[in-house]
Amino acid sequence: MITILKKLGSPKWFYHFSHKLTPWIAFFSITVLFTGMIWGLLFAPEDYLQGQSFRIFYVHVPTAFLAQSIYIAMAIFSFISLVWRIKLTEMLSKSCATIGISYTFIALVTGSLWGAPTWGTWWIWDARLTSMLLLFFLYLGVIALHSNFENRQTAAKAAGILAIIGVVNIPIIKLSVNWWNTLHQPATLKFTQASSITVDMLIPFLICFTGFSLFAAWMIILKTQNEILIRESKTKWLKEAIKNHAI
Amino acid sequence: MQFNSWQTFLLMGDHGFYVFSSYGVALLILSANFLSAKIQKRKILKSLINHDKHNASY
Amino acid sequence: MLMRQLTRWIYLKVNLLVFKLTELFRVCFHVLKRDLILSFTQKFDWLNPLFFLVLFTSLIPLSMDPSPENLSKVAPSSIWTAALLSSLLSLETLFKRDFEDGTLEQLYLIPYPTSLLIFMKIFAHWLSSGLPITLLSIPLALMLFMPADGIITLFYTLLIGTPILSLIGAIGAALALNLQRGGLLLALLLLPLYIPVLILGAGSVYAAVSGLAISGQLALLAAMLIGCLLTTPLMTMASIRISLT
Repeated sequence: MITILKKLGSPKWFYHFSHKLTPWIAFFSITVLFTGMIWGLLFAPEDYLQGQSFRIFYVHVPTAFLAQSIYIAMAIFSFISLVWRIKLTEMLSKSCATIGISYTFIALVTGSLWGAPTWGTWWIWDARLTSMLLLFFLYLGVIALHSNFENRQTAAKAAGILAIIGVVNIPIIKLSVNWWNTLHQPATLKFTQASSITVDMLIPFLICFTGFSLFAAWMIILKTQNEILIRESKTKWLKEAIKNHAI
Repeated sequence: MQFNSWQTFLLMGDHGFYVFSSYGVALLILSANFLSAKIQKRKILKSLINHDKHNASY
Repeated sequence: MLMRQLTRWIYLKVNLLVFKLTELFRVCFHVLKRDLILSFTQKFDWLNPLFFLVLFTSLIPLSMDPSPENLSKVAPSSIWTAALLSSLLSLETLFKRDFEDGTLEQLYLIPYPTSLLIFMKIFAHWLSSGLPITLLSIPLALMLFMPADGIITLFYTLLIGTPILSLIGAIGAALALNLQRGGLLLALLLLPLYIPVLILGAGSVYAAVSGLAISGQLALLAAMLIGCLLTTPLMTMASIRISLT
């Protein structure tokens, strides 16, 4: 088991494998994402309660969901790298942080833009918005740790510990924010009756979701390749690859 | 197709601003991610190649 | 014959165990005493957070209409926020001095469980920061016209909550040991992790003031404290090791 992990965890293997894979992921993520977005903008039906503003759903929900999943993935990568001392997962978890915080930001902004026409305000201290904001801060801490250390490996270890604590903290945050929200119920603002999603709304949503996931994978691969280039710059295989213009 | 004309598409039942700025922000940030990764890669490669030449000249 | 040998063997083993345990207890007590003496001789180490707490809470009435009913509304949130920030402020001194003079490295070399010794350090730190903060917040709550029910709950929640803050904070302090601007980074790292404690702590004071049940929230806080007691010393140990290399 550990030997397989070690083999998969070798940066050289990952670089060559992902180098072959990237054109495909790039192609699919862009086409799927654009298909989903155009479908969401043009062909999906309008919601009978929220009207056209429901189209924000196709951007907001996938990014919000992925922001959380990427955080969990980051913590798992960090855990693997701390326990089995695998370099590749360190780099992977660092790459997760950048795309994760981007998705969190998109989810926050689109949530606010969706809230304005449906709730009548840009921001409310609603349980879900608040926990998204806290997720943003958690990502910020991880990124700050990564950029504050001179040694990349030390930085990755420190950030890894923070990511793992954060992932333990996410359910506790959710629980406490939910409780806090019932204690201070915002009096006038209530989310309009949850609209039931029909099949012709579900299809563009799933396409968008796939597109955003593929894009995240693509970005994580690109960033990890960059990390490998920096960290492995002294190794023989990389020098030869650069000489042969194989990169 | 849900819209008859460009006019109705851009208006989006008076929610055009919200819808288009959401999609715009998303696309903007996604492309910023992509571009920063590409620029970073170019910089790294340039410095690596320069470093190699530097070493070879010694 | 066999029986006698066996009892003798058991007797020796038990003796050894008792000896080891007393030794461990003595070392732990020594670490606790040393840290307490050090922090109380360095007056500003333990006084600064308390000054901050007093100053922060006296800014609140100055920045608003200071009528008693208004003040009692914001009292739980402002005192809890002040307590949280001042315990954050106190964290910088937790490992810094021992890190600089090399004492922290010694903790990893002596043949006693390091996480236990680190736990004793955190406990000493809580005794010199969290406990005074908890005690001082009672007169401050009186100054902000908090009702009696609220003050009792405030005391309990701070008594359970400040150890959690110290325990989680120790991990952050350990991670930021090597860094130049550690203090600012510490706030960025720790405040998101502190939020559940803040919500539950201040929220249960609010609930108590408005006559709602609070046992559930107190139980949750206590559960968090137990969880932190079990896990954070180990994580702090790992974090210090990262900073030492």
